[in-house]
Amino acid sequence: MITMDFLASVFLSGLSLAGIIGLMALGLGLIFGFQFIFTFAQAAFFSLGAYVGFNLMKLGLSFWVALPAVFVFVGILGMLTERYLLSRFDRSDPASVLIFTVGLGLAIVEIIRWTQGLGIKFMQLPAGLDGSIRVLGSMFPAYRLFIIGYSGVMFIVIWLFLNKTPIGLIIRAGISDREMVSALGINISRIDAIVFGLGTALAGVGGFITAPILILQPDIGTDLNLLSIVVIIVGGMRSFGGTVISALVCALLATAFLIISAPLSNIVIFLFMGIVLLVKPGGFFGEVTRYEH
Amino acid sequence: MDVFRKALKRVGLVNVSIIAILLLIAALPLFTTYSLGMDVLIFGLFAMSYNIIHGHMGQVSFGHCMFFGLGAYFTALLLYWLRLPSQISWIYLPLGVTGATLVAILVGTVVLQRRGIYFTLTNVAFQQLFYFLVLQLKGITKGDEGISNIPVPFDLMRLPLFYVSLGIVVGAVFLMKRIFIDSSFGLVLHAVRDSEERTQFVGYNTFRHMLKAYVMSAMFAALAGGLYVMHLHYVGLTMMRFELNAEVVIMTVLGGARSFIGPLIGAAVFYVMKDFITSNVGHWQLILGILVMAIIMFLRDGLVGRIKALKF
Repeated sequence: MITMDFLASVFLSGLSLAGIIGLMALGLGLIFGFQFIFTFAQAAFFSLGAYVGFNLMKLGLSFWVALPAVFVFVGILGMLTERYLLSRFDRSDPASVLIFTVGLGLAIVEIIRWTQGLGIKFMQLPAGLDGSIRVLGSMFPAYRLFIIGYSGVMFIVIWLFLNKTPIGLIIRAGISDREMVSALGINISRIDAIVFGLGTALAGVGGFITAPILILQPDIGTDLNLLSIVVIIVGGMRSFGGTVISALVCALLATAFLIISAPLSNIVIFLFMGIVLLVKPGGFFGEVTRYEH
Repeated sequence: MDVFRKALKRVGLVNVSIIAILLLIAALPLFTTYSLGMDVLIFGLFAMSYNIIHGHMGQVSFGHCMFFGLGAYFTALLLYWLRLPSQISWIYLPLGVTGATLVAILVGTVVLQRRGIYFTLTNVAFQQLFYFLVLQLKGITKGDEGISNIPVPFDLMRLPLFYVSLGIVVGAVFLMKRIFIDSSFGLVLHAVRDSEERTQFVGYNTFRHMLKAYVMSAMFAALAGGLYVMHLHYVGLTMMRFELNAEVVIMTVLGGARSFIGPLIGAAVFYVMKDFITSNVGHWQLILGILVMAIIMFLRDGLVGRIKALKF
């Protein structure tokens, strides 16, 4: 018997999943939209964020200090990656960058495995968020609500960053016409590093806030990375609103079928993506630009 | 020395090295293990089949192991559930490959609607779809555990399977080379790689050519999968997992996607290195990751491209 309580808790679980994969997808979409490169290393940066945060908390830092620290650390690492490695590649050859990021991801995950050991680790829930709260008539873990709230705030902050700041203006301009922006005398390679750093930082904090509700292991990011790929394909690669809505739709769909069985939920999600690509090749809110066919 | 050089020139350096490498691979079980040689052959065939899409058609797919896996699962399920006398059960290998090829026609029609990164990711989606389908259909596939103790054809058991599959690999190499490099079909495919739009303007139906190439590539991948099942007497989800997609792309670029034999050499280097490093050094994935980054940065055409660029 499916009760209202049950439906409410499924809905809220779906929302928290939407927050996590939405953050990852937003990073992926920003990088692809601005730089026309697709990275498979997001899963590794997700794990890296989780492990860096875990170790910072083990050193005695509070969750609230570790959170921005992870964002900054993974972001700077992403910026360095772009500046010294990815910027060497020819933009007309996205396949090389793609395969390069596969290698990068392998290396990062193995370094994590090397330094952290193979043992399974559990991250403590931050103090104050370890209880349950009554929402919509049913008890719900407070930490899940925190994930929903935090990712909502992050979406708003990034929207403000893109729409109300000078750098955001350049990024949006670059997404619609990259060559024109550099023709106007703007040093676009510096912006590249910022965008890539922001993208990886979003994956990193995503990993950190997800770590307490999952078992911490070096390849923790793989499945969620695949889900975030579905999100940006369904939503359209370079649409902010599309990514957010698509994250909600995909996460609710996945959570709804998760009740029946985990493999079935994944089958539905990937079938959904296949159908969307057939019916609307650019995703629901995107369009196919002249750079992709 | 001069005579040697002239003879070398007549046969062609590339052909000499191809023969030398095939001999070297054939001799692998002499100085390493038997199963390492099998890995090199089977994944070499898989990587060469994948390279039809990657090197010759110019599209990257991160889902090609779905056909390897489907070939493996179709063959294994037939062998396991519909037992035949072992003299005729080899028929299940071509049947399994046919099954996977039919799936490839359907999947190819869908994924070839798009190019570039969308092609790559749609392939990922289908690969994941089949992975979870295998996991879901526990009644037939036994899900996570996989099926062990699969009865394999009697004749293939007696003849060392290694040399049977070596024969199949060599046959497939020459078949694929004839079809892809020496025929007009191969030329059109290379034209599509360089510019699909211009090929269309000349009047070719590029979609049909690409679909043919995709299906053929899937067929050889499925053959590799079926052979792998017969080698291991086992089928499991490890033959369909996402990491295998990445590995086959790595083998291809390691050996050199622009050359025909490159992926086979890539697979040989990959498995020999993996064997050596995991047993002597450790942290294989770290070394592999760094190697991939270095190859992509400094050796764009892979090891074979480097050999070809040497002046003799």
